Parts: sequence; structure tokens; C-alpha cells
Amino acid sequence: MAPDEVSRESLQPIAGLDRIVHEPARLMILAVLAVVESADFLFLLRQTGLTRGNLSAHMSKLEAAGYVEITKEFVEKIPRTLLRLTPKGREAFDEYRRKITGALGTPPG
Amino acid sequence: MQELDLKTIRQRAMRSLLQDGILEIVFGIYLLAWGAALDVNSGALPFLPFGLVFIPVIIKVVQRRFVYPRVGYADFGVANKKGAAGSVARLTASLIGLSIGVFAVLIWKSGIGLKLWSTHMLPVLVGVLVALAPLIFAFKYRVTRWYAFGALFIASGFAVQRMNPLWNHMDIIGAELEIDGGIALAAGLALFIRFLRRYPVQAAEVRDGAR
Repeated sequence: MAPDEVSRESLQPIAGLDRIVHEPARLMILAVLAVVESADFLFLLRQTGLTRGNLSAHMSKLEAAGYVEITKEFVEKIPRTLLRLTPKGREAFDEYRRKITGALGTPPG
Repeated sequence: MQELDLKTIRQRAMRSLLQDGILEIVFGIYLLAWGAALDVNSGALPFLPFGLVFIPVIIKVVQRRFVYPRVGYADFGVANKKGAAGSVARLTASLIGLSIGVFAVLIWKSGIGLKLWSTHMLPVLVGVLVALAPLIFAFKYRVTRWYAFGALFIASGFAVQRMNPLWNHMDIIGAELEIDGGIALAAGLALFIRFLRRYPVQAAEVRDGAR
């Protein structure tokens, strides 16, 4: 196999990364949701540092991909948007972590 | 750039919900109440650990009122209970419980010498027991101030041990719990006031996401 082909093959996992997960803002949201059972909109807003509009847009994309489940509930008559990672979302996140670690490894030093 | 892993993300997320000082306030009130109870009736000491069961419930109620509208809500549920650290903590707690039980039986069956020694060492033992909760939390969530609380509680055990030997030993324990409770309550109130100032209540549409 030619050196070019070897190089191309070793970079293939990067090309196969899930683009829904790969976007930094969505990756932040998924990373937070991966360590909790559920979290509300305000908690995610504070943890990620995103703007309301940005967070809302990325939440919709994650929900459309089936990675996040969004539910509305009322706490003392005030609506609360609760987010939870779906099994599909957790699988996608774990797969992304495996691929990115496999492709790039741990940083030197 | 800092290295991040999921464990660190979880610890930081948890810490953001523990910066309010409510845990310190409730723990402080609990210790003060027991210190006062011991002043009235020395037989109250064995029931002290049972009150710990109510602390998480009270904290949840207070957080719902003051914390979630300011910094948001997260349920750490199962994600928090998994892992080797949880097993180690449970094993440690079991071993400590077993040691205390064996220690109590030994004292009960012993002669006057060990009884005198145990009475003398009781403030230190209580100091160590009271320090366990903040030290376990400090280790688990990497919160430096709880290491300081643990050290202060143990130090108060040694300090109280040197108090007037003519005092009834249960009065000394009562005084120790009141000192520890006072420290926790004062620190908790300071943290709570700082938290309220730093994080104003968010408007409903911000909390809701207005979707």
C-alpha cells in the first residue's frame, strides 16, 4: 500500500464522525447531558455559556436527530423545559468519543 | 487548554448546584439542634445519625425554592451512583459503622479503665464522626471548603476534649456539636447571601427556554 493510501486510511475515522455531535455547541450540550439524568434549560444555559437562541436552536437539532428528549413540565405554575439524553443519543455520543480518541489519540506530553 | 473528561464535567456540574451554602446551613442547624438536645437529655446521642436521613429532603425543598430559579435544575440520579468511587464510599461507611459497633461492644463489656478512656476520647470520636460527611463530600465533589470543615470539626473534638474535666462528658459533646454547628451555619449563611447576590432569579422565559 502506498504511503498516501496508508495516511488516508488512518484519517478515515475523522471523516466518519457524526456531524450532529461534532458541532462544538452540541457537543457541549451532549457532554453535560451525558453526566446527568436530566437537566433544565437554565442549567444547560449556565453550564455551556451559550446564548438562549443558540441553545434553543441546537436543542431542536438534537431533538430532531433523536439524540435528546425534550419535555415540558410545570413547577409551581412555571413551565420548565427538561432535557434528557435518549439511548440513541448516548450511543452516538459514546461512538463519537471512541472515534475521536481512536483517530487522534491522547495529546503528546 | 484544560483537559476535560466526563468525570470532571460531572463534578463541576454538581458543584454549581452546591455553591449555595444550603447544605452547610441545614447541617449546621442539625448539629446545633442536637447539641441543644444533648444539653437537655444525654440519652439523645445514639439517635443523632437518624436525623441525617432528612437532610437531603430538606435541601431539595430549599433548593427548589431558591436555587433552581437561579442556576437551573439537574437530576444526577443514577449517573451519580455508578462507579468504583461509590462502592468504595459504601464500603468505607460500612467499615466505619462496624468499627463503631465493635468499639461500643468492647466498651460495654470492658472494665472501668477502657470506659474512662472512651469517655475521655469521646469528643474526638464525635469530632471524627461529624467530620466524615464533609470529608466524603469534599473527596467526591472536589470541594476544598469541605476539607476545611472536616479539619475544623476534628480540631474542635481535640479542643473540647481539653475543656474542664469536671464537666459531664455529654455536656462537652453538646458543646462540641454546638461549636461545629455554629461554624457550619455561619459559613453556610455567608455562602447563601453571596449566592443570592451573585445569581438573581431568572425570568420565566429564560428558565423555560421560550420554545
